[in-house]
Amino acid sequence: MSDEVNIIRRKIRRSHLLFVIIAFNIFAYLLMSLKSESFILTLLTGAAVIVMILGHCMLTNKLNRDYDELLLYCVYFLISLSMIIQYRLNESGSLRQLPILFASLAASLLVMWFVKINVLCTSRYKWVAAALSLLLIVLVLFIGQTHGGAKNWIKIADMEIQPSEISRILYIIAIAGFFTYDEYSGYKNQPQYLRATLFAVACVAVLVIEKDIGAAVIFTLVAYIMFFVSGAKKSTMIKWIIVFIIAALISYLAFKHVETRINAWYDPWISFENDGYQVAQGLMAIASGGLSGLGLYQGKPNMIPEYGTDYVFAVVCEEFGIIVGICVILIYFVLIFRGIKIALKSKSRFNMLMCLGIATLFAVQSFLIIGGVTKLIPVTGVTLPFLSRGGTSLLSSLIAVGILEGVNCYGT
Amino acid sequence: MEHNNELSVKRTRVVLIAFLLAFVALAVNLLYAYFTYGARWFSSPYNKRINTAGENVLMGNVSDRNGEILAYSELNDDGKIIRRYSLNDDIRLSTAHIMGDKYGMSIGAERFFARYLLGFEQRLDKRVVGEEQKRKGSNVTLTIDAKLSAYAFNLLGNNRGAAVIMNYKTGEILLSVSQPTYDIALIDEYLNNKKKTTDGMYVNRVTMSEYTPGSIFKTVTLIAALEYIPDVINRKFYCNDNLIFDYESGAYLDGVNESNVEVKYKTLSDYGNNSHGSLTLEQAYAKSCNKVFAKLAMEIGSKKLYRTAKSLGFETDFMFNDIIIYSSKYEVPTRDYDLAWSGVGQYKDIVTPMHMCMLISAIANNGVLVEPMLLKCVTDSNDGTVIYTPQPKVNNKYFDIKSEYAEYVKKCMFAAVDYGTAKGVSIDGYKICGKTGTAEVSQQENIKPHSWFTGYVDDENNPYAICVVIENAGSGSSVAVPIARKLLEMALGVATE
Repeated sequence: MSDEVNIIRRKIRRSHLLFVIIAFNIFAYLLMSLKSESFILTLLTGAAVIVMILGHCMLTNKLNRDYDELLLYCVYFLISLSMIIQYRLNESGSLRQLPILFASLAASLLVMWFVKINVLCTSRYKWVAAALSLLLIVLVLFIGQTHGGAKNWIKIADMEIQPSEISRILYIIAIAGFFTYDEYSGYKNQPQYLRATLFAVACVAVLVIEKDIGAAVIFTLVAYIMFFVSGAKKSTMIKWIIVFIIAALISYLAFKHVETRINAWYDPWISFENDGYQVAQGLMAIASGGLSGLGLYQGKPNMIPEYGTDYVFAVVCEEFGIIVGICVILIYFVLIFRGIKIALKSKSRFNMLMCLGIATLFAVQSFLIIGGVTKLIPVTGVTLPFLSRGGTSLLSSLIAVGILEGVNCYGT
Repeated sequence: MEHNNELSVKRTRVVLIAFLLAFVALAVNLLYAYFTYGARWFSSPYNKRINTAGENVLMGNVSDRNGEILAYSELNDDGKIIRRYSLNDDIRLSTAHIMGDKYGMSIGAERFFARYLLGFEQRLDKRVVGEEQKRKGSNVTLTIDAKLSAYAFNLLGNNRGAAVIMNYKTGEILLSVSQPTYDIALIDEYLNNKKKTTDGMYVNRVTMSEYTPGSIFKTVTLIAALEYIPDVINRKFYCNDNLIFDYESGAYLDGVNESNVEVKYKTLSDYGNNSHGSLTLEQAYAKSCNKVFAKLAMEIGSKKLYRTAKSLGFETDFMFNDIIIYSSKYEVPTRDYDLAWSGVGQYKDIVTPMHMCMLISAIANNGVLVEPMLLKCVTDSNDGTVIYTPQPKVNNKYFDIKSEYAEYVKKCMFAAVDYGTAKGVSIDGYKICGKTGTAEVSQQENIKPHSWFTGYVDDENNPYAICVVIENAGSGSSVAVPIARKLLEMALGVATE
């Protein structure tokens, strides 16, 4: 019984964080209501976001009492910040995001329940996951549309879907499955490196053909870290690094837009008129915001290309300030840290690898795009989990959170 | 559990630490980039936020150190905001580069300090005002002396060139003029081709023009000699015949003079073919003897000379808040002939006047550079209270001069004014030190050399460093020196006119 008491104590201790998030929402929407076209609509949007967050929190609590609060609170904060920024950037557009948010939150609860009834916690479906994952990205090859040099989204009945976002979760499940040797896998105490390698290389190859370099980098790094953790030999890991370097050199020579991205990173100002434009605009936005930011509606984020999606971090820095930007970086790290903690305490090898893969996914995505916007590394067109506009990205990120929370309660 | 073997757990921890380092790198890089480049990114001419903010915010006033208004904003009859500039033509024209125009054709104070002028740094509660009233930015006071600028502008007249004076104890830039200039109030007319433009008029020659330094570079060679040649101070030099170099290979032919040379050759001589006879190092510097310094350069060697030049701010990207300075260059020569000429500021040596002024400042201040600054203070435009006053900042990053070398260079510079080429700059009652320069820029006879003077006033209360360059005007002592004297007289308040 003392466990139960401890859980309740911990929850009470941490609940003030939830109040902070709710207060943040209330103040932000009140402030925005003064400036926006419709006073009532703004407040209703804010109320809807708050209700959804609280509802999700209560249902998670109902589904499993010992959920990881810090992980969820990080996600809630990022979702709140995202909705505020999207509402400020484009009111009508962000209203369409509300049902998607609702569906995504519902999906994460559903996934938690799947894990509970032991559907997702096994390597049983690895072949299904692998097939679906590959199918989704191959699909883009045929019916995909090009955006910003990369062919990475399809259009179904007025909805824009990025299949590679969903594919990522299935990809992680499949690779975790190949490395597992439990009663479902049929493998005898041996991770199936060859199958995993072939599968990963196939996925990355298709993405490279689609010129979706950002996704290709993510898929590669996630697989690499999962290989590493599953116990691959050190010499193999080093060989792969050599392969990556060669692949990077080839892509630098073969793809024009890889070269321009690197030039734009090295000095965005000399090529401001064309290649360096986006990077330079992002840097100017960050510099204009300063440490404390210009304040909501005080900046000019519309000048940055891709302000709602890839470059949303520059918008955060401009209007909320670099200090908040650093807090966001910190929050991503807490999120990843909790994910890895869940991985470490999970009982089965499959769960461990799956959770680690998801944490890695968040880490790689957020590092690539924040590093790109702040000119630490060349820009790769990657969405920032939870913050960027885009339904598919939000859905897949919240499903991933559902898996983590599910494993936290039932897989340990 | 058996599934989670120890290796996997260990490697998971490794991954966690790798992620931690990556995210720390993200945060540190963001802060580092902001504090190092932030001001530069913000004031970029591409930053349209400044232009659009200028349409909605009453930009603050810019005034000189004595309160003379250089620029202000007002509402016209249609309620549009107009930027106005000083009505005094001389002041407006002479400060054009230092102010910078609104389109960023030349980048100056109006852009560097746009953060204050447009009120970007004001507290949030001050930034939010009602719709009907315009928000007001803060006022900015520059370290520039407008009267001195106008005086320098007229002194330069139709000559192309630049003049800069800074306070070497505080880093305040008192004067920075560049000719040819443009009328900042007519920038729209220039851009619409309604008004004729002059070639290179947007270029701020003080910070952006890359000039051949000529003899003022001897200061660098002198410091390198002090560093690398033991007991050079007590050595005796003899300046008589021209130095002879092999025409093809450029190799120095020691012991050969023009009467007994047997191969096709090139020479290195002094300006006007003087010879100075027996000299000490101090006398060679004061009389600006090319032959002695060319020999010193060859004795030091190109690598070491490059190292000294680098420690004196050559090949350096200066990162200051208030000013962007193009970097000066010293290209490492491979042939004796080029090395000899590079030691007297010819070959491919390139400098900006502002850098030279900073070098003299650092020497005058015993080897320590105080960062040049253009911003005196920022005041609230409503109640006049001072919001921000930058403090003088010592900078040890770009200049590395030992104080005993600085002491010796100062002595040499005084000698140059006392009995050397810079005699004409002396002002009664003040100790002026300096170095002239005559930079050959063309082989053609009819194109005159650039005329240089760099120097400083050795005075606790008037610590001014100066650099003057007049393009294609003649020798340093005939043109730049008299102008420098007049400018210093004006700055010191002892002008007779």
